[in-house]
This record gives sequence, structure tokens and C-alpha cells, in this order.
Amino acid sequence: MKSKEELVHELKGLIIEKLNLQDLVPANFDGEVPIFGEGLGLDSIDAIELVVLFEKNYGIKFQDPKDARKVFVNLNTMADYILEHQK
Amino acid sequence: MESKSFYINGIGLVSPQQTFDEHYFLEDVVDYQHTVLSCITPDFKQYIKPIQLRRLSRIQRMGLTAAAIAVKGTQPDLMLGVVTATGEGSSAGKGAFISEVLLQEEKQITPTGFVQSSYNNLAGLVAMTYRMMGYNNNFVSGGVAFETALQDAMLQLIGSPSQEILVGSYDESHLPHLELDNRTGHYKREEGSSLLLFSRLTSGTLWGEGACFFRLSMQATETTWCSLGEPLVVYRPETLDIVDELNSFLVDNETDISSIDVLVSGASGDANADKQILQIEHALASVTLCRFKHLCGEYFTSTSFAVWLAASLLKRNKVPASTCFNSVRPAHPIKKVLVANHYRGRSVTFILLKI
Repeated sequence: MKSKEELVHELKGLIIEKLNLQDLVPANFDGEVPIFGEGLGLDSIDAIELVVLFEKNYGIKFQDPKDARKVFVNLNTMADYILEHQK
Repeated sequence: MESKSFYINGIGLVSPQQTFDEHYFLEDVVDYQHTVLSCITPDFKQYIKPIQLRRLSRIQRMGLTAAAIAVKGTQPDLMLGVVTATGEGSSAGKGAFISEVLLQEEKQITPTGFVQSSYNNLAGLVAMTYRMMGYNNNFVSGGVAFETALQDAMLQLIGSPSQEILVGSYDESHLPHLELDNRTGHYKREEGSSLLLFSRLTSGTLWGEGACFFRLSMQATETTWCSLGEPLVVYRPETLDIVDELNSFLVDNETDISSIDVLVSGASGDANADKQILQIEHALASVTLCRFKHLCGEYFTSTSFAVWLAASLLKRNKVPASTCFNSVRPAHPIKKVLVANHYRGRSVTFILLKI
């Protein structure tokens, strides 16, 4: 089982790669930077990409879209959710 | 369609030559040594916002760049709409998406892959980027897609003659497709100079690609390049006398062969497909002959490259040496240019451009 720090690092790499953020990610993209809105500026299409990323990479399926909204806040909340729900 | 006047007020072209540069006119052309001619692309960040750029495929970037060049200095949101044409759509995007569907057994499919694979993605992308909320259409009709889109755009303009409309085309070379098409003999199998395409004695042609947009209207403006007549597509030209078809097209356009200053010929270097085009070149032997498929290759919507070349000849009043294929000196000024193109010999297109 990966630690939270390892997961945050892994998620950061996956998000940058899958969402083609290489040129856009700020230097201080750490665990607390919001991924939507004024943080990374992701949008609803990216949210779907993240749902697929969770299912594909961590085997986690969101039954209720409201859950995803609470999880996709920043890297820390995503890592916490994975640690809690990964099979 | 009753004969009307249409004008080209702006053009953006991304092709295997450096045509995105408005100061460039085929002076130093690239000589490709292989069968596939790929587009020379600009720094996309100069034309597309980074946040938008990251989700676009290569062909979407090329198409949106061509549109950006065509609408530069205008208010695109006031335009009538956008019409696009493609022979096969985003080939690479489709390939990637279908591979994903198969590999993942139709589960966990990402939206970006789906969007990039759809045929109408460029028309939608251009409309959303420039807030063009009017007419939006896309034609996927093989080697006559661009001609069909052009006719549709002209019909739309007749209904709203005070507005401008954006009409464009895109097709990309895609290696897996090339492997399939090579079995049919449509493309050359051996390496060799693209600029010597018409000297090579083997069958087949070169595979090209391109993205192009034209800003059309029914009123000349200070940015007008030239006027553009309605296209005529002659289907299955081998069943007809193509020179008779050309003459009746010219009569419909109130002109004749002796009035044509330059012929832009779509000869592809494939003797099997070029029969009718070579007859047309022969009929216009006293006219300056320009060819272009050694510069951009053959692709479904290559007529858009031909129209760009014809419009550029008229605008610049100059025939680049790289396009000239006979010794007839061009008229000064160049007033009438005839485009005669074909796709694999299945159909021949005539378009007349004038100043």
C-alpha cells in the first residue's frame, strides 16, 4: 500500500500527463492547490477524465456524482479518498 | 444555382509548405523524400489559448490555426456560420479512440478521445472558439467534400447576402491508413523526391494533408483577394468528354479558354488517375500551367489548396517557379485562373477565380 505522500506525487504526475497540463501547471502545484476554478482551472470535461482515471488506475467507481465533487478538491482529498476506498 | 458573385476575403492554410505565413508564397519549398507529406505547423500558442490547446489533437490545432488566420482582423461572432469538409475526418483521433474502445472492452472511455474522433469536431471547435452561434455544418463526402461545403456556404450566403461565412476543410495523413491504401496502389511505394513527382515513372502519388479556411462573402471588401465562382463537379469523368464539360462550364461562367490566364491543375503524378486532367492540360496548352500536388500531396480536400494557390496568384500577380510546369509566360496582370482538380480520377472539379 502506498503512503499518502507517494499517492499525491503519483496523482500529480498522472493528472499532468492525462490532462496535458505540461505547459500550464504552476511550480507550486502541491496537495492543497484547488484543481478546479482558480487553482489549475480544470473544467467539467476534465472531471470526467478524472473519474475515468480513478476507475482505471485505482479501481474506484463513483456511484454518486456528489461524492466525486467532494473528492476532486485537491491532491490531498483525492489521495485520502483513494487510501480509504482502494480495494 | 443562378450565377452569383462570391468573394474570398481571407484565407488561412496549414499545409506541407510554410503557407501559414502570410508573407510566404512558395519561394523556398520543402522537398520531401518519402511518400507522406506532413504539414509544417506554426507555433500554435500564437493562435490558440494554452488552456484550449492542451485538449486539441494535431489536426484540430491545424484547423483552428487556419481558421484563426482566415478571421484575423474581423468580428467572427457576426459571421453567418461555419461549414467544414473532410474526406475521412480526424484519422489519428478515430484510430486512437477505437483502439481505446477495443483495449478497454468499451469501458472507461474518455470524453476527449471521443470528441477528437468525431467528424464535426472542427466545425464545433471553431464555432465555440469564436462564438459563431449561427449556421454550422460539416460534410464528409470523400473527394468532393470541400466542393460540397463550398456549395453549401454559397447557398447560405445567397440567403444572407450581407454577411460573411467561414468555409474550410481538413484531412490528415495517417500511417495505418497508408498501409491499407498502399495495397490498392494509390500511393508510391518507393522513396524519392516529391519535387520530382511528375518525372517519376512509377504509378501512385504522394499522400498529403492540410487544413484550410476561407472567409467568403457576396460583397467585395478592402481585404478581398479575388472573386470565386460556383464549383462544378463532374462525376465519373471517364464516361464523358471532359473537354466538352470544361467548355460548357466556361460558357456558364461567361468566358472561354482563350480568356484563362493560368490553369491550376490537380495532376497527381499517377498516370492512371490523371487521364482527364492531362486532357484538360492539353486543351489549355497555350495557358500558363501550375501544378501543386508535388507540394502538398494528394488528399480528399486538396481542392482547398488549389483554391488558395489560385487566389494567391491573383492577389500577388505572380507565379512561383515551384508551381510552373510549362514555358507559357503568365499574363500581367493575371485576371482569370481556372482550377481543375480531381481525386483519384473519380471526379473532376472546375472552379473559376477572377479579379
